[in-house]
Amino acid sequence: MKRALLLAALVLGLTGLTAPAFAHNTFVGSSPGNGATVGSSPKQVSVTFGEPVQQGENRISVLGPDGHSQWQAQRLATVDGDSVRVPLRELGPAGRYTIAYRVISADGHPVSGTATFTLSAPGHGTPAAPEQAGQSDTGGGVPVWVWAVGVVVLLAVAIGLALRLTRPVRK
Amino acid sequence: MRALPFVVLAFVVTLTAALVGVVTAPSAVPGIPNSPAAVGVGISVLRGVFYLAALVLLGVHLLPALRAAKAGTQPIAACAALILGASALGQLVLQSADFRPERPVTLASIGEYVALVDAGKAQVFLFALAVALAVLAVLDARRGGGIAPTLPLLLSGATVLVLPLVGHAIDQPDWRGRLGIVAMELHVLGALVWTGGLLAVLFSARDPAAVVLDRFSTVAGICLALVAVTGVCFGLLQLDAVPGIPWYIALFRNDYGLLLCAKLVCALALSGIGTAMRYRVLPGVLSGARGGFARLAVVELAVMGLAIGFAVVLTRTPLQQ
Repeated sequence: MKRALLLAALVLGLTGLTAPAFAHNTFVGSSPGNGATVGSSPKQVSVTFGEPVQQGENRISVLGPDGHSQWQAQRLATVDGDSVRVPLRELGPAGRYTIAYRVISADGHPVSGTATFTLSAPGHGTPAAPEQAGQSDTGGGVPVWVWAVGVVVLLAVAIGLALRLTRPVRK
Repeated sequence: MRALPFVVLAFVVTLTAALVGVVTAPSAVPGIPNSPAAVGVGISVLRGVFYLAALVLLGVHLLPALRAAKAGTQPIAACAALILGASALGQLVLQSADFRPERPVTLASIGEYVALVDAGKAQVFLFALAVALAVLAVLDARRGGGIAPTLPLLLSGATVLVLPLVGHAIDQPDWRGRLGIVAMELHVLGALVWTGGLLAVLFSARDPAAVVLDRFSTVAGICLALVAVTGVCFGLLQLDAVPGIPWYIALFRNDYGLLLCAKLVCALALSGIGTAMRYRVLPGVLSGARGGFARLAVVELAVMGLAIGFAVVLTRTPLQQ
């Protein structure tokens, strides 16, 4: 009973230290709105969520009607509380553009999805040069599985050591 | 044979986490870097391993409270602590891979992830806790059981309380957030004390002593009530936070809702098994008959394993699809 009370005190103590929000973030809306039609090229695109977005690797890509040309003018999106935004190049052909996003929730989980808007009158812009694809694969890191093997080997050594050390002491 | 209940539990947890993780893997979004589905599934499985290690630690350190002998359990506690630490490191690597899908994982990228994201700091903290628990187990063995069980029990409890706190240090005075976080902490703690306790009872003896069963029965009853109430509470709060869809529709519309339903079914099954345990099996054991405690308990563990497997996938499942 005393231990249960201690644990309860621990829970309340830990939770008392923080002012919590919810774990999972949700898509609330986008600008231009999901499904909206715009007459001219917007200056920027933003996506709003139900919870604050973690600073870091937050992406918004705007894909043209062809489904692969990219129209955002910045690699990473700027976080502004519950929303992220990215400046836009002047758009080109009329048609349906896709806003693809991937943001990091406050709890570290990525949340991704898409929204769309339609450009009714063509602009004079051209898409971003496709230089970003594959540019980063030469970073000199090791694949994830090498890390996994490393952790497993470390664990095996530690367990061997622990079993040796916890061998019962004979009196 | 003494390890059989744990083997059943571990098998069900990892298999459920892997299969459900594969089925619910989010589809790739065009035009931006996506992590391979294996990274997400790997995180779920490692989270399952983490909880398995945590509940073994809780179970071992609950033995004295259940009036069962803890002699000779130090190697188990040490191994569980080390596995917990390794799973924390593994999750750290995969989470940082998930954070920047287009870049390779390097020590620098992991460091950057820890510096930027609380979920990374939490895994480092958990690794430190795990090392402390392993050292305590070794010291306990060297001194022939000289360490009071309260400290390792509290540390084991702390390990399961860390992850639900992550990302909630944002200053947002929202009563639902506060209620949600307390509900989640109690839910995880209740579920793991319950499962770990049942493992401990099965481990304590081939035919567990009546006094042990009697004490555990009370703990299990409290845990069942706690887990059910907090689970429903947290689930409804989450579904209610989805903009544009009423919660009762969201419950059946997406993976998140369906996983909640699956956990609810597990809870109903567990309350049925628990009732049978308390009112059928326990009176028999108390009056001296041997009863079918162990067999029913292993079935109960398998259902708990399903629920834990669903849970680790649920924590990564988006609320919207």
